Formats: sequence, structure tokens, C-alpha cells
Amino acid sequence: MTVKIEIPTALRSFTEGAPRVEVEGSTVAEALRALADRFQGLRRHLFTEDGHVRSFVSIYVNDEDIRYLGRETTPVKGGDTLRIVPSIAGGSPGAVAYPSLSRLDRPTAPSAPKALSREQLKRYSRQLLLPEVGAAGQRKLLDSKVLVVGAGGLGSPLALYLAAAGVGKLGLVDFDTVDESNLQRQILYTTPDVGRAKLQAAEDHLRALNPEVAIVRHDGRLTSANAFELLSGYDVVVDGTDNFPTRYLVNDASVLLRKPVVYGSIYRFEGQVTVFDARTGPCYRCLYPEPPPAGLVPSCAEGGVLGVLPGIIGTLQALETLKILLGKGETLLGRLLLFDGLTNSFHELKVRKSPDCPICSPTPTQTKLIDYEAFCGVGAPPSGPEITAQELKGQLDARAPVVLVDVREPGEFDLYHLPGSRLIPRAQLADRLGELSTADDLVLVCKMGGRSAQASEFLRSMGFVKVRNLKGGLDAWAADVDPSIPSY
Amino acid sequence: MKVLLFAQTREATGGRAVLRRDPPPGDPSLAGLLRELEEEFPALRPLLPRCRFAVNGTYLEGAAARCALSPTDEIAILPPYSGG
Repeated sequence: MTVKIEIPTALRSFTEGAPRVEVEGSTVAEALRALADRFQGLRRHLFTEDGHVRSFVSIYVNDEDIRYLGRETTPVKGGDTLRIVPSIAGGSPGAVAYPSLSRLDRPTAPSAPKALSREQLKRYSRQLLLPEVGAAGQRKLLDSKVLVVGAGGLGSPLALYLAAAGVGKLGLVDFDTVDESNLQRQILYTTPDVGRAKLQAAEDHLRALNPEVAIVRHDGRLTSANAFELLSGYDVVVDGTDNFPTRYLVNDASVLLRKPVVYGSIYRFEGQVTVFDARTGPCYRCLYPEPPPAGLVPSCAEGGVLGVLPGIIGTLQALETLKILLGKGETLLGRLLLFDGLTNSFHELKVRKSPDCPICSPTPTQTKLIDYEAFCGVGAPPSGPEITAQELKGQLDARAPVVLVDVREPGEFDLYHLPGSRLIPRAQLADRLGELSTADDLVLVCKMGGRSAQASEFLRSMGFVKVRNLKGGLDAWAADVDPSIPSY
Repeated sequence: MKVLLFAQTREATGGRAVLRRDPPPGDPSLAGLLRELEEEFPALRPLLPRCRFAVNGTYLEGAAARCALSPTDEIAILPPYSGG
């Protein structure tokens, strides 16, 4: 029975660096003994002197703790994965809480190479201690160039960690100014920054964090006209944008320039992270060849997001970026990592290079950059009838028999809603069609007009003909009709 | 089968992250399953055409979508999202 054993980093010095080893065995104890036979140095870490598996070594079979199975007599079968999980006490000046390891196997401090200054040795000492970094790795980081596209929720932890780690040149692309509503998640900015250009504020904070990193500001939008020039000066591109057109542009330009992209995206409590590199694996368009219709997917401004979510996903992107630059570990290339914050769980899916990919296949149908706004349907005429805030105001004042349906979430409805409107959250619409009549003159309302446009489309598909969408949502109502309503 | 839902598809099914289903007897393929889900949750209808599907951890490509599913399969339904 061949089983796979995943070796934790702390024990890899005994397996000649191998992250996993295949052994024969029909129980956990047999498999571990086979492992210890092959790598003698492991024996005393895994077994007591009388030959039992040590109590502080946690072993999992296919992600289940053997203490809840049959302990060391737990049977294993071909294809099973056994995982050795040491207890780790990191986070503070700790070491691996592995009694024998912390004493014997602490990585030897690399001898100071002439290239690193005293200040650098001090600043980067905690990562210089890692054999995967060391002085040579730190040199690589100091010589590397990373472009972060988007300095928002994902871009904040990304830029902070990459600058802190000593990435030599850090380029940032953004056109926005700091808004109060950014501060809840965009930890690169502070309250006094509100109203300032994001990149100006970012540069100040990143310089204060690590003055030796060259911060390059690319104020403005990434466009098909400037993408090649902008990206070509960098080794790795990190996608921290918040919209589909820029994501497709970042992907296509990186494919054509043969550069890796570290991708991250969030939706409410969920996130995705992966690495795209068309030279050796898939690209974004192998995964999603075409964008969803505009307005189908709510943005953070519409959908809401908890600040730690981009913190987690952006930090994972920073980790992948550093691994690519160092050439260490296994990146997420070919694996899409899904995170669910509500259950705090990860799920992994394999992503293959698509033989039909429009841009990275051997026979691409697209060989240059295109108009990504048009590609994603942004600015395209709306698919159904709309009503402006002012028109709606006129009709309500004239006591026209319109039925206002607010498709936001109940919490948003509580913050503010149009008088007389009724709440049917978009997700419940399908189940509550009975509450609406096809004879009524319906006007659908949300915060920005995207969710209600989608809901209008859905109602039309269900046979409702008199459906109009409030153009620009309540934000437009606040701008054009009643500035006193709370904006959120 | 275990059907994993993400992002908006989760909302379209009333917040469910996992559904348990048997392969539809009439058409035990992914297409058959999707038709069944669409009937049960009409809010899924506009979302599914843009979703990608994975069976047992691997994305389906082209013709694989027509293969028969087995009761032990795990199907993931992934809509795109671009927040950042």
C-alpha cells in the first residue's frame, strides 16, 4: 500500500528537503516506521524509545486526526495522505515548539555576505534566519521589482508586507483618493489621509516603513495604451484591482509580456488566490475566458466586505509574490485556493492550462490588447428600461401608482429607504414572486443600480413586463434629489 | 453528491454552502444537475452561464461536462468575482 506522507517544513532537513515522501505500510505506525527507516534522523522525532509514536506529534490521515481514528494502528490504504503536523508557536519571538527541534535544528545564521549592510542585517534578520531566504534570498528581494495594481483593500497589505520584506522596487498603480469608507479595510491609509491622492499617502507610509525600498507611483488608470510600458519594468505583477476590465487587462498584458501574475479577489466573506503564469501554467482566461455581464457581480461598495478579508487574501498574495521572487516553496500556480471566512476554511481546486484559451493557447484568437471596458460591457446601454432619480421623484410627487421594490439587504434597508418602498432582498426574489403583480408598475431600487438592474432582468425573464430600474440607485437619489439621506 | 456553492450562487440558494443531491436519473451529467438546480432555485439562472465547474477538485473542460456524475462526486460551482 503506497501512502503519501506530507513532511512539515520543520522536519524537511531530515528528508533532504522533500516536502512529501511515498512509503509502504498498512497502518499509520507502519508507514511512519518505513519513513524513519528511510530517513534515520526522523526516528527520534517521531517515536519514543520503546517504539511508540510520540504524543506531541499530531498525525492526520486524509485531514482527520488519528486520535479520533485508531491512533497509530489506524489502517491506511493506497492513495491516502498522511500529514505530520508539529505544534508551532510562531507569531512572536518564538521558535518551533518542538522540544528536540528548537534546540538541535535551528537554522544556522547565514554568514554575513559583504553585499548586505549592517542596517540590512538588522532589519531583515528574522527572515535572514530562514534557510529559504538567507543573505542570497534577501539580495534577490532587494534586486526585484514588483508592480501592485490597485492600492485598495488587497493592495494595502500587499504593499506593506512587500515593502517590509525589502522588495527593491515597488510600483503602485491607482487613480483614486482616500475616502473615509476606505479606512475600515485599506490599512495603508490613516484618518489624516482622507482626501489625499492614494499613492501620495501610500508613498509616505511605505517610505516610513522601509526607506530603502524605491516606491514608484503610477498615478492614473492602467489602460490598454499604457499597460505594456508600465508592466515591462517589473518581474512580477500583483493583481489587487476591484473590477473585471482591469483584471482582464492585467492578465492579457502579462501573458503577452510573459510575466507571472499573483491573483487575488474577494467577495464578502470569500476570497480566491492563485498564481497565473502562461509560460508554465494557466492564465486567468483559462479559468474565466469571458467576463460576467456588467452589473451581475456586485462590487465591494455594493456587496459589502469585512476588512480582514482583503487582509487575509492580500497577505496570501504577498506570500506567493515573495516565494516567486525567492524561487522557494511551491506556488499556487495551477491551484485555485478558495477561502471562506464564515467557516474559516480553505478549499483547493486544480486549474489547468486551457487548450482553447483565447490568449495563452498555442493558437490564440487574441494576440494584442483590446478595449476591456467594452469587453466587459461597462458603459454598454442597459438591457432594460431605466428611470432616473429625478424622474422617479416627479412620479412619486404626482402620486403615480409605482411600486417601489428595494432589493438590498435588510441591514441596508434599515439605514435608509425610500418611503413606501418594500424590501425584497435580491436573493429572496425568486421565492417571493407571489408578493408582486405583473400588473403593477415596478421600480427596482438598490444602492448603486447594479443589483436592481440584475433583479429587473430576472423579473422580466419571469414574465414581468412593467419593470424599471432606478438608474444609479440610492446614490443617485442622494446626489440628484435628496442630499440629506445617509450615504454609506 | 456534494455540491459546493460559492459567492453569489450561495446567496441564490438562500445562503447554503453545500447541497446534497443524487445524479439526476434522466440526465446524470453536470448539465442535468444544473437544470435540476435551476428549477429548484430560479435565482441561479442568470448566474450559471458565467460559472465554472469543478468535479472532485478539477475544473471541467468542454466535453467532460457531458460525462455521467457518480453519487460520490464533489461538484464545485464557482461564479467569477472581482472585489479588491
